[in-house]
This record gives sequence, structure tokens and C-alpha cells, in this order.
Amino acid sequence: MHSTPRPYALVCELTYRCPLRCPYCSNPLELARYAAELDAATWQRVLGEAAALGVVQAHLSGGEPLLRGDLCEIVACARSLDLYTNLSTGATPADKPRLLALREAGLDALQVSLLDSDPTGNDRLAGIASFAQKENAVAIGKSLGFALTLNVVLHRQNLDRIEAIIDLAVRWQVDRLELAHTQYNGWAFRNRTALIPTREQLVRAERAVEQARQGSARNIDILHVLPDYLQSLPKACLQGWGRVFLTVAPDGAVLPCQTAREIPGLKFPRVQDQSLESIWFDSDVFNRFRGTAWMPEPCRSCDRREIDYGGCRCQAFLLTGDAGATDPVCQYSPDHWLVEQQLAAAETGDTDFVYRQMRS
Amino acid sequence: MVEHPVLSPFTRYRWDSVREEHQLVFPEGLLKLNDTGAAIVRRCDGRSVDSLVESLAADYPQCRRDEVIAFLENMQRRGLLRDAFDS
Repeated sequence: MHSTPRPYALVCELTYRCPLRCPYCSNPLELARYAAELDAATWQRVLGEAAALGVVQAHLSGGEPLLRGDLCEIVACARSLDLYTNLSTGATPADKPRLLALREAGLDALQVSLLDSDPTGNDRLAGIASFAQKENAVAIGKSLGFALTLNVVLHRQNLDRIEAIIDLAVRWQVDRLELAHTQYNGWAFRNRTALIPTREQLVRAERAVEQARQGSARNIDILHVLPDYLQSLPKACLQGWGRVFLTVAPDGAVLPCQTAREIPGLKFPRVQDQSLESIWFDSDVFNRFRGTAWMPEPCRSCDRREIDYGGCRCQAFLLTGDAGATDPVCQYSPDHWLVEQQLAAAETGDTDFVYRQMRS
Repeated sequence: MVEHPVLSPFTRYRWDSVREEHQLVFPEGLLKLNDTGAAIVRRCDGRSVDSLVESLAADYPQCRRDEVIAFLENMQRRGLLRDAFDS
């Protein structure tokens, strides 16, 4: 018997290819290193192994998962295993026949990303004209009966339009609205001085969200994910390493989280070589930060150690160079000054981005 | 309070054969149900609350009406239930 909990959610990163070039993309900076992609038959085997392991939700993601011509086969397989399926898309390749085919294959939920309420702002951030396609995909998705989530990544350059963003979600009649501040990993870490909001912006935005929840957007389920660097306690990243989530990357590498490739020295087993079950329970990488035994002080003796699980491992590495350190977002971390230094830099930093690109 | 409860279109009931538990699954979330909860959910098919409670009492005599209503209200608050005759 294993005392390790079984995973509930599998993130299937079907491809790293994407027409959008968002400067906060969480995909690896060295995208070209991982160009190989699993075929549909392998994904079907992986989904079967995931269901047997206890996975309930399959999140089909990318890159842009709609770029895969075999997406319907993968969805149909997930549905036949009684998995709840959710597709996260930038929506540029979405049209009615495509979304209808996915609905008929059994896709449950559609999550469309939007970069800004202002079409010009959206298209500038995406690095490509895409606002009209997103609006269209939401309308089609609603008409086909998908559970529809609009996901807007928030940062310094769009946060002041939060009311307009919420108004748009109301007008588009989405079921859920995720207002998620950038996680400072991947491309967002590189661009963080252009992305970190000011405290004044954040206070105003929190007030706007609260007002909308009571008023115009009371029928929409709004999730507001706050920016890490402006918090004094870390998030329960992944709800704990190797506890709820696992990710299979486009090339078959199995990751505890989508951005774990940023941590050097970790070896990621591949679905081509090993079963998901043995990877989940027995691999070094999943056991590396599982539970609380790995924790340094101040986490080890902290009352919150099983609330936030020490925060985000990728963030700890990116800021301190040590993935096993307490997340520096925590006010009790000896490295918390690093976060404050970043906040100060962002106050005066310029707002130019490095856009995501496949070569590196 | 809904009069003719049905699951919202995005909510699915499933039996998790790995964990041997009843579950309601919805976008980004999951609710575990005990046997009585599952028996209530299986009866959320558009019948009236009265008829639901009556049918439940046949199989679960210990189930009290006010507990069933509290359970349904909680589900409705979480967006998992709606009324069959609401558009």
C-alpha cells in the first residue's frame, strides 16, 4: 500500500507550438530543444494509465492544442475513460466545425485565453491579430453548450482595464472568469520588470473584482489569482509537489509541474520508457519535494507547512538558485529581500517585452 | 431554493473505481459525495423536491428532509444544481 496520494489532474501539453507569442508564456525558454511530439496512440495509452492511477480531470493544453489534427481522437479516448476534459486554447485555429467535432467527441469544457479587453492591446501582447478569433470562439463555444471559461492573465500593462475586462466577460456570457496574475516563471520571469503591477494598481483591481462579484458579474464564477511578489505568504503551488497534479510534456517527459524544466539537475522520466504509475510513486523527481521531509527552516517548523507546502519550487530556484529553499515570497524566508528588490526594480523598469519565440 | 433540481450542464456525477468514491466533477473542481449524497444526486432528474425526499426515504429512512434541503442549497450555491424549468 502506498501512503502517497493519487493524482486527480493530468495536464496534457499536446504541443509547444503556438501562433501566439505571449511575453509571459509558461512554456520553456528553450522551446526548440523539445520539438518532438507524442503521437495520438501514445497519448491514448497515457490517458489509460492516468485513469487507472486515479486521474479524474484531463487538461488538454499546450502551446496551442488545436494545432494537432488528431485532437478529436485524444478527446474521445479521454471521454471513453470517463475523464472530465478541459481544453485550454488561444482560439486562433478555432472554428465552428472544429469545436462541434470536439463537442461530439465528448469535450466538456473550453477555456479561451484573452490578453486584454482592448482589441489593439490584445493583439499587441499576443504578437498576432487574435482578438476577433477569440470573441468568435467564445460565442461558438457557448452555442455548443461547453462550460466556458475566459482566462485573462493580468499584469502591469492591462490591470488598469480590469473593469472593462470583467464587463467583456459579462457581455460574452462566460460561465467562469479566471483573472490570473502572471506567474513569474518561463518567459514571464525574463519579462518580469515589465509585468509586475504596482501596489496601487493591485488594491484598485481587488476592489473592482469585489464590486463586480456583488453586482454586474454575480452570475459568473470569478477566480482572482493574486500576484506572488506582492503577497507576504506563498501560494500552495500545485497544492503540493506530487500531490494532485502531473504534467506530460509534448515530448513525453513527465513533470510535477509545467515549469519544472526550469530547475536544473532534475531528471524527468518519459512515458515512452516507464508507466505513469511507477513515475508518480517511485521516481526521484516526484519524491524530491513531496510531503514535508525535504523542507528547510523556516518551513520545517512552520504551522503552514501543510497549507502552502513551502510555496513554489520553480520560483525558489529562479530567485535564489536553490529549488529546495523556502519560496522567497514568504515574509519569513531569509531571501524575502530578493522579492522586494524585484518590486523596486519594477517600479522604475521599462515596459518593453521579449516575445516568446521558438528559436533560442 | 430550486423546486425541480437537476445537475448544472457542466457538472457530471461519476463513480471513482480507483478510490471507490462518488464524485461530482466540474471545470477545475471536484466534490466527493458520501452514499446518501450520491443517492440525492442520482435523484436530481427534474422531479420535485417533495418527490425526491419521498423516494429517498424509501431507501434511506434515516434521511431527514431539512438535511436534504440543506445539501441541495449548498450544491446550488456552488453552481452545481439548477432548476429543470429555468431557461
